[in-house]
Formats: sequence, C-alpha cells, structure tokens
Amino acid sequence: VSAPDNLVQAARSALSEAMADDDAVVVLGEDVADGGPFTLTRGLAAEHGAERVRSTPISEGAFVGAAVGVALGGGRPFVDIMFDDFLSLAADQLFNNAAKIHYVSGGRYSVPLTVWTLAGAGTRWGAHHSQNNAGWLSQVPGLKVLSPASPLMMRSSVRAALDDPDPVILFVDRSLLFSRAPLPGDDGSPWHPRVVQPGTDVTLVCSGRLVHLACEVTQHVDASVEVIDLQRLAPLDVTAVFESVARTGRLVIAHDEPHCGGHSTLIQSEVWRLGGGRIDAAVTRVTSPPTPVPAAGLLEDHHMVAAEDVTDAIDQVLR
Amino acid sequence: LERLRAFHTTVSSLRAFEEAVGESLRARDLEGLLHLSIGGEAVVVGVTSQLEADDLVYSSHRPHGHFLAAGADPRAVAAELAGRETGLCRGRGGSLHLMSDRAVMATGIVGGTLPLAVGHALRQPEGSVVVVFFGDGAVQTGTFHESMNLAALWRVPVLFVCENNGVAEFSTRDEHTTVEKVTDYGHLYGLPASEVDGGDVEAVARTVASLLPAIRNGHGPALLEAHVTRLRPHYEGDWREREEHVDFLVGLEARLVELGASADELATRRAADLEAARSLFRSVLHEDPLPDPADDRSLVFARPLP
Repeated sequence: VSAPDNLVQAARSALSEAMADDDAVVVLGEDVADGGPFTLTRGLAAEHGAERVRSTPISEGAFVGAAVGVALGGGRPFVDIMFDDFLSLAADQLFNNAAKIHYVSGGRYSVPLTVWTLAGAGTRWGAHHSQNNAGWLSQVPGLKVLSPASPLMMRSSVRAALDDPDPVILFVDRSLLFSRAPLPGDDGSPWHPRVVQPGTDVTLVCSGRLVHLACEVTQHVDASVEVIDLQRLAPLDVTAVFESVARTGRLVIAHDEPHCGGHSTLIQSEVWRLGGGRIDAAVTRVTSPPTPVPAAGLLEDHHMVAAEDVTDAIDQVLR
Repeated sequence: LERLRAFHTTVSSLRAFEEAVGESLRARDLEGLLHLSIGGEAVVVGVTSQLEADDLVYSSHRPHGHFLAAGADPRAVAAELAGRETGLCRGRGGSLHLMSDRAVMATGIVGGTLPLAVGHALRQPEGSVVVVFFGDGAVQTGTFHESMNLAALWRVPVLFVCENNGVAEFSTRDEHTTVEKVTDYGHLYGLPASEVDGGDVEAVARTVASLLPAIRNGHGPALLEAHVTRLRPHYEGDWREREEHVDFLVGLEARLVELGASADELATRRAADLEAARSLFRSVLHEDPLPDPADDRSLVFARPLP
C-alpha cells in the first residue's frame, strides 16, 4: 500500500487531472516546466506538453498579467507565485485587473484564474520568503481565497479553483506542504468553514497549520474547545463561527500574521456585525508581533504563533 | 483620394465624439476622469484600418478612439461615460474601464494592459494579432519591459503601439528618461521597430501594413512608435495653460483639398459629425436608464459564493 499523498502531491495530481479533462488549463510560473522548487509541477510538461506548462522569466507582473489575458481569451490559467511575499510584484495585475474585471465590465468578462502561492514562516528563510499576507487579499473585492489544510481538501480546492469562473488564490501554508495529516470533514466543500473538533466552552477559529496545532493543544487544556477551520479566507464568511460563539460565549481567533495585520481583525469585526453590533462573548486574537519575520531561528520561533500562545488565549477567555 | 477621404471620415467622427465628451463634461452633464485622444486620431485610424476580423485591440487610459475605431457601438460607449445601465459595462466601468468584444479593455493604470495583451495573444487563432496601445509614459514602467521581454521570448503575435506625445501626464519625456527613442527598446529585445509621424494617417497605415505580415506568420511581436501631438490636457479640466499646437487634421484636410476634395464639403462633414455626437449624448442623457445599486454586489463575481 503506497503512502497517502501529501498536500503538494495532492495538488499536483489534481492539477494534472484537470489538465487532462480540459485543454484550456495551462500552467505559468517560474521554473514550472522544470517542476518548480517544491515539485508542484514535476512531470506536467512531459504529460501535457511544453506549450501548456510554460516557465516564465522572473516577472511576476508580466506573467500574472499574461495569465489574466489568457483567461480573458477563454483559457484557464494556473499560475505559481512561488511565495506570497512576491504577491507585491503582481499586485497591480491581481488587485486592479483580475479582481475588478468582472465588475467593471458589467459582467461581460470573467477571469477564471487560479493562483497558487506559499505563505508562512518556520523555515529560517527570512523576511522575503515567510510572510502571511492573507490580510492583503481579503481586502480586495473580487478575489476568492482558499487555504486548504489537508491533502484531500487540497485536492478538492485545486479542482474547485480550476472549475471556477472567478480568480481564486490557493493560499497554501508552507509548513503543511509535505503534510499527510487528514482532518475531519475532508470530504466536504472547500468553500465553507468546517468544524474539525466540536466543543462547548470555547470557539477557536484558525486556518492552515494552526488547525493542526489547535487540534493538538486543545487535547491538553481543561475545557471543551470547538475548532473551526475557516478554509475560505475571502470573501470571508463567519456565519459558522458566529453560530459557534453564540453557543460557547468565548472566541479565540488564531492567525499567522503580524498583530497589525487585518485578517483576524476582520474575522472579529464580522462576528461582531453578525451579532448586530453586540456579542456576549470574550474575544481574543492570537497573532505574531508587528515585526518582519526574522531569519534567526530563535527569533523566528518566538515570532510564530505557538502552542502556548493558543493555550494562554484559551485561559484568558475562560477567566 | 477616396482612401484618404475614408480616413478623414473616421477621424472626423472620432474627433466629434470626443469634442462632445469634453463639452458635456464642461456642462456637468458628464462626471468623472476623462482623458481625450484629440490629436491622436490619425494613429488610431491608421492602425485599426489594417486589422482583420479576428484581431483584437487592448487600449490605454485614452480609450475612446480605440473603442470606436475597433467597432464598439458609439451609443454604448456614450452611455458608459454617462454612467447608464445601457453602457458597454452597465455604468460600472466608465471611461477608464471600457470593455467590449473586439476592443477588449482600457485601463486606469499606465502600462496596465500590456501583459494582458501578451497573454490574450497566446489564445488567438493562428494568423491573427493583438494590438496594444500605450503612451510614452508607460515605457518607463517595469510592466512594459517585462511584457516586451515575454512577448519577444515566446514570439507572441502582438503589435505594441506607442502613442508618443512626448508628455507623460504633465512632464516631458526628457524629464522621465535618458532614452531618446522608444524604438531603441524594440531593437534591444530583437523586435522589428518602426517610427512614424502619427499625424500622417496614410504613413501610419503603411507602416502597420509593413509590420503585420511577420507577426501574422508567427515571427513574433513588433513595436511601432507613432509621434502624436496631444491637443488636450492630460485630463479634461486640468488647470494648466496649454500651448497652441498644430492639429494634424488641418494638414489632412489641406491634402484632401489638394487632391480635389471640396473644403466646404469637409467642413460640412465635420459640423454634421459634431452635431450628431452632441445629439447622441443628449439622447443618452435624457433616455437611458441609470443603474440599480441593488444589483451591485451580484456583479463582483461571475459565481457568487453564499
């Protein structure tokens, strides 16, 4: 019996299947014809032809823009932006073109673009290869952002993104790339939050690697914690979180971003809005300090959201 | 004579449309940020005269001429500028985000459409081209160089048309760059690159006709640098005093008269086109429905998420 797929293997096989099903699917990005740094596209050029798996120059603005053009021409481009730190180089094309075209054209055009990008720290690769910029993406109307946390959900997410008529960012947690760990609810939809662990005392909402960390640490706290994997980071839907908080009365939002970042704040304010401007709950956010991601191992470990940060937050809302 | 007369007819209708746009804005019948291409019509008409049915146009921030010359319905363009539901983009785009079928899109970002044209060209049927218009201000963006490099590398069927008016927003080319000629960049990336007097519509058409066959035959992109004179400010309503510039249309009409056309007839056409354009805007402003804000959220996505 072969080992189950890890996330990157699941993504590659889902992408390959989509390419076999639909000639319009093409892959663009740095070194993709050669498999990329993390084997995401290994073998795809041989399987599906070099014309469909094009390595690009280090020109994020041009190849993301070109992918938008491919999409307007009826193609279904899958673009690899190696690290989400590099989103800044393609920001004009993503934020001003891909995200806005359906709306500003009055629905005349849509942009079926899939962007794969890796986010997150833990590698000692420093401030340009470790950020989590989900907060940037969640502020732009017109982008859909998925962050699958398990191999099976990665598989459904890749297929869902390539099937979708709109721009979808696959926001992949770097530290889960080679994870094989399944999660409860893996056969569900990638578009909606899932309860991966039911509980009655505290609601803990998170995504990516923090879902696994949350399931682990809550085994050792003296409370029943409901863990929700957000999955869809944008457009944000916190209905399930709100319903959970309505029962537990306590909310911990854990997200890998600097404390000044916007994603966890947005979750908090959306839950507040759903409560009609009032929720009867203790709420806290678990994030990183407002600094760039440090390179030194000791500093980076201190920077990242850790198990004790989550347990401290749970203790705080229980108090 | 007949060929030149046909060029004049198209130029006259584009000029009249944009004169009416300017008037309507000054009368506060239109709102918004409007960049007119008055003075640049010879390039628009010369280039688009050489296009075939499958060819596409990507536009810039001075898009009205590109769209009309590429066949967009003038009433739908006018309605878009007037923010009406009947506009090309249901009023959601406006001047800077015009989108239609043959003229694909305009942009509010200088240089923003260049890579899209390159990508779209990858999907085009064999033998067709994508033309992308941009100003000399775009040449200093990274996107210009990234797009030229990518198009040259992949031999993509794109004609890059630089409408060089020597003024980027409010400052002159020599305040933006030490590189004198835009065509130098074409040579650098190994592309055929030609320079032309953008006030001479026949020369533009001839030069484009000389560049297109190689592009259509799969030899890759080419660059055209057309020198034009911007007769209006960067945007309508700018406060700066403008120098007087020579209008190429005066020369075009003198040439037509030389060839035997009647000056009165040309003047009559110009006046009739202007009246027709004014009447079009009056009609749109009086008759066309405003968009409904209630529809708006549903337009963000092609497949909205619950």
